[in-house]
Amino acid sequence: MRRAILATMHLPKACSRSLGLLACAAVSVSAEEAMAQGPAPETGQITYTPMRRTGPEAPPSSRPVHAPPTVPIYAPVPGARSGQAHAPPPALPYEPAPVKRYASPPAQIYAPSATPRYAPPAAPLATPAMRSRFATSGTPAVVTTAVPTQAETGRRTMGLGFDLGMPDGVNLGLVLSPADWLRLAGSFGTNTTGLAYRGGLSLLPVGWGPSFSFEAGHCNLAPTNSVIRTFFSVSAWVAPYVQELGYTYFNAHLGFDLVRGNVTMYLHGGYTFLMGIVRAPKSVVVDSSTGTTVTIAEEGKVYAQTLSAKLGLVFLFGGS
Amino acid sequence: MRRLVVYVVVLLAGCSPIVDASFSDVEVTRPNVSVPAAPTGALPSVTFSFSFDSTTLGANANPDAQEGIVSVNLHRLVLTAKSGITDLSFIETLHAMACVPTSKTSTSSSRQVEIADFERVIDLPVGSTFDVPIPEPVDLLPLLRPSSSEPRRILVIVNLGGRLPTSEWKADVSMGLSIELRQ
Repeated sequence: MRRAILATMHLPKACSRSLGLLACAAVSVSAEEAMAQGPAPETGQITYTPMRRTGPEAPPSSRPVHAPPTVPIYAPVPGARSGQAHAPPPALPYEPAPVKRYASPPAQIYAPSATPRYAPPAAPLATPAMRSRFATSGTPAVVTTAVPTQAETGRRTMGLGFDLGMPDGVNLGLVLSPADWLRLAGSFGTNTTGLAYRGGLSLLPVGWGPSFSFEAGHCNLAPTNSVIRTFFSVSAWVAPYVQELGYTYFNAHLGFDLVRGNVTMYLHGGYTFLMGIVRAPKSVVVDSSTGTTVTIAEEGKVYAQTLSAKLGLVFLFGGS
Repeated sequence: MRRLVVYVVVLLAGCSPIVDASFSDVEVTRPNVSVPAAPTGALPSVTFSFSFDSTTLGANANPDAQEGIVSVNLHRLVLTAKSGITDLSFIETLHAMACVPTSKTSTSSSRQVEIADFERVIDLPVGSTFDVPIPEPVDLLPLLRPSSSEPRRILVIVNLGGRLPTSEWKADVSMGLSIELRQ
């Protein structure tokens, strides 16, 4: 009985051992079948895909963590400026992946305008360093950063001016023309007797032709001559008393400006208001037989309104 | 263009400027005017005169030229002793008149202006220069508008009264004028 009991107790152990052997046999058989159906594995080659760590210098969303797109991200954009819109390509070689995260290149920031302000995209890179970094796509990115200058636009702003007229006299000075319709001038000269200086502006509504000029000037006190006396129509009996004259004047002129390239010739005429002082340091003998003299003890004041005109020439530097 | 220049020149030549000039202090000086010796008496007086050419002062018979002088006013009359005396304190009365003589040798006139009428009230020392008080400016413009028959000359007649010197003496006579011109 005891043997019977022991025999029954060993029975499940034997059964489980046999079942385990059967399972092992079945697994080995299926493995042999599988090995017989597939190609033999190559030995000595290990392929792995490295994971790129996101660095602290850039947010994870800004970096392509996975495989690069099939369309090159850094392909040249026509008309784009170099080094401004895109980051350089990654240095590590990525294995191609079927998933395309970036379906299209970045939007074109610098759209070419109708006027060709930049060089055409076919032009080469500006520097060898830029070429080496962007040459992976085959088509080099092309940019010229030229900014239109005053000389390219043909605008002339500064020059010299010369004019001749009365009561201004002869003047030579600087001319500033910030716009076609505006001309500012400051000049020195002489009214044939003393130093004169003047400032003013001319407005040319269409850049040439009719003009409007407004000026203020001053002629220092100086001995008069026949030119001054003739202009002021000084009477014969007054002439001896007008020994020295200085005046400040204001011009409001209409005119015509003829523009040919850098040169402008003009004729201006109009109204002048003038105020000045007259001095007669020397006594005037009015009657030599009696020795009667006239002395202007206090300087006289003169105000004049007159028509005036001048002919002038302006030469502007630069431009085309 | 040439035609435009010609037009501008002609326009400017035909339009002389309008000039206003004012001289507030013009001094006309007649030097070394001889004053005769005063006669002896209770209230002696002496009259002397002098003249000068007014052409250079703007006198003109042409009406257009006369328009050029707007005003001529006398605001000061000064006597300065030159020889014979050193002090003019003896002058107690002074009457002066300016006129345009009918001829160069005549003292008669059809246009005359009284320029001073002085009578001493306070006995103060004067010195060698006597500034005759003139209460208000005197218009001398009629003297610079002679007729075509009148000479361009101004005659000034002065009468002095007081304790006058009994010998001849000389003085400078100055007239301070203010003149306004327009042409």
